[in-house]
Amino acid sequence: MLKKLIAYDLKRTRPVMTGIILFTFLLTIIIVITNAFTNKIDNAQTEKLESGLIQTHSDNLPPIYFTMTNIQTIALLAILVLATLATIYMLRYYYKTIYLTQGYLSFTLPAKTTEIVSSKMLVTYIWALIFIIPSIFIGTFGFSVAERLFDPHYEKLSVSAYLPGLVLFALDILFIIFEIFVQIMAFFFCLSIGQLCRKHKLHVTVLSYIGIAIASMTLFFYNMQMHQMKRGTWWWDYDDVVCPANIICAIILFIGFYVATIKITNKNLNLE
Amino acid sequence: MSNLLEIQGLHKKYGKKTALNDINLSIEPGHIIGLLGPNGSGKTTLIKIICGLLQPTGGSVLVDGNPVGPKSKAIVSYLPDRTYLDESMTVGSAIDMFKYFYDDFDEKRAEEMLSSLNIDPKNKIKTLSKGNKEKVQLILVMSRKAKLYILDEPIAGVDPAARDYILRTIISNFEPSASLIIATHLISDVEPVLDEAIFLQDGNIRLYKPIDDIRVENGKSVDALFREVYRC
Amino acid sequence: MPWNLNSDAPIFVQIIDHLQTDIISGLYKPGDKLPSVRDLAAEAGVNPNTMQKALSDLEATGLVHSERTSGRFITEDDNMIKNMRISLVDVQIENFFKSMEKLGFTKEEILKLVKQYTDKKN
Repeated sequence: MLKKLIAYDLKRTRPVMTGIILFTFLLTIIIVITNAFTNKIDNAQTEKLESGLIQTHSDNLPPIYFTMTNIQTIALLAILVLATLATIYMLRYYYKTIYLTQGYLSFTLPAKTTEIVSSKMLVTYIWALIFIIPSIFIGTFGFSVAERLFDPHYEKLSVSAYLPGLVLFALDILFIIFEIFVQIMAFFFCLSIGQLCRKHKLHVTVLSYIGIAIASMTLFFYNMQMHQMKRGTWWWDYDDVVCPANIICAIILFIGFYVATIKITNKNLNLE
Repeated sequence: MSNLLEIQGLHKKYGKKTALNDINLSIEPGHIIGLLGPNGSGKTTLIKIICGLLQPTGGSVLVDGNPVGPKSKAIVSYLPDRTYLDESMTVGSAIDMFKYFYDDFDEKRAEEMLSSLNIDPKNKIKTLSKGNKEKVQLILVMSRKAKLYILDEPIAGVDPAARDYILRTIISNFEPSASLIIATHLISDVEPVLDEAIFLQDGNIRLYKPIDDIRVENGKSVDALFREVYRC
Repeated sequence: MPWNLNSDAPIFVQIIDHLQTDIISGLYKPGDKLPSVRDLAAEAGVNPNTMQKALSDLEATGLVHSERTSGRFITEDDNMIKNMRISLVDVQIENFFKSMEKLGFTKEEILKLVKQYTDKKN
C-alpha cells in the first residue's frame, strides 16, 4: 500500500511541483549564462603578476556587466521565492490531507496510519531532492565550464587532485540538504503537537517550531565551533559543517521527530 | 454466522468527559440499522472509532473478525457528513482514485448512477450543487462492494427528491452479506428503511430493537418515541 | 414514489395490506410475476427484510407462490382473490358502520343516506 500511496501523492502534487521545478531550472540556466558573461568580462581584465598573484581591474566595466549581475541577482531571488512557494505548497498539501476534512478520506483508505503519513512526508522530500539536486548540478557544472572557458589562468588539475575538493563539496551539499530535511520533519512534528491542543493549534505549532528551530540551529553552530576548536587534535579534519557531532545530532533529531509524529498521529488523531 | 461488527466494552474519554461508556454491540450481516441520538450522544465518536479515525480508551472493536486497521478499512465504506473530497478534483478522477485504492470498487455501478443523475464526470466537484456533491460522495461509497457501510447524515441538507433517491439507492444496493448503519436526526424519513434502531444517549446505548417491535410495543413511530425520550 | 405508510402501525402489517389491495384491485393480475424483493422494497421505500417477511406471509396464505428460480407469482386462484376481496370489503363496511354509529346514526338512517348519496352521484 505504501507504494500506491506514494505514487498517488506524487501524482496529485505533480502539476504544481513540476511547474515550479522547471521554472527553477530555467532560472538556474539564466544564472549560469549570466555568470559566463561576467566571468568572461572579468577575466578579460586580469593579468598575472610576477609574484604569481592574479590581479583584476574593476574599472571600465561595460554596462552589460552590470545588467548581467542584476539579472543574476533577480534570478537568485526568484529561485528563493520559488523554493518558498514550493515549501508552502507541499506543507499545505500535507496539512490539508492529514488534518482537514480530506483527512477523512486519507485515513479510511485501507492502509496503516503510519504508511499514510509517511507517504506524504516522503513525497515532500522527493520533490525537495528533485528541486535542489539538479539545480546544484546545473549551477556547478555551468560555473565550472565558464571557469574553464574564460579564465586564462585556469590550471587543469588531475582527477586525483580534483576529487577531494569535489567530494567535500558534495558532502557539504548533501549534509545541508539533510539539515533542511530535519527542519521539515521538525515542522511535521510541530504540526502534530499543535493538533493536540484543540484551542490553540496555530499558536502551539508556530511557537514550538520557532523554539525547535532556534534550539537546533544553536546546536548546529555549537557543534561546528567545538569541532573547529578541536582541529588538529584528531582524525576528522575535513570539515566543520559536516562534523561527527552534527551528523549524529541530525540523525537523532530526524528519527526522533519522525517517530514522535507517527506515534502522536496514531494515538491522538481526531479530525474535526 | 459470525458477526459483522462486534463491539465489547468500548470506552472513550476526552480528559474528564466520557464520550462513550461501556458500549456493547453486535451486528449481523444483512441488516440496515439506524444509529439515533441527539448531538453529543456519542454517535460520531462511535462511528469514528469503527472507521479507524479515533482511538478508543478501552474495549475492542472487531469488523468481520478484524481489529480496526487496514483489513477492516478495506471492508468498511464510510460516508462522512461533510465534503471529504478535494473539490479541485473532477468527479472522474475521484472515481479513478476509489478504483485505485479499493479492490471492491465497482466502477460500472458508479458510472451508471452518475449518468442516471446527469452528472458529467468531467466536471470539477467544486462546480457541483450542494445536493449533487452529496450524491457523488454517496455514489462513491455505495459503489464499493463493502461488508459494512456507515452513512453519517446522508440525507440532511438535501431536497426531498434527492432524499428519495438516496434512500432508494440504499435499498437497491442491499446485500444479505453486508450491513449498513445510518446515523441520522431525520428519523421519520429513514424509519421505514431500517431493520433496527439504536438509541444512543450520553455515550450509552439506551435501546436496540427492531422498528416494528418498537412500534407495536409503544403504539407510536420510532420518531415519536425518540422525541419523547429526548424531550428537552 | 415510496408508498404512503402510516407512522404508527407496524410497517410489516401495512406492507401486507398494501400488497393485498394491489392484488385485489387488479394492479397485479392472477399469475403475474412480482418484482424482486429488492425492487419491491425500493419502490415501497421500505427495508428489504421487512418486505421479504411480508411476502413470506402472503406465501403462507397462498395469495402468492414462489417458483424456486423464477421468483414470486400471484396465485391463479380466482376464487381466493374474490373471497379476499369480499372479506376486505366486509372489514371496510364494518368500519364505516362503526364510524357512522359513533356519530349517532341508526342502521336504517345509514342505508337511506347511502342511497341518497349514490342517487346524487348518478
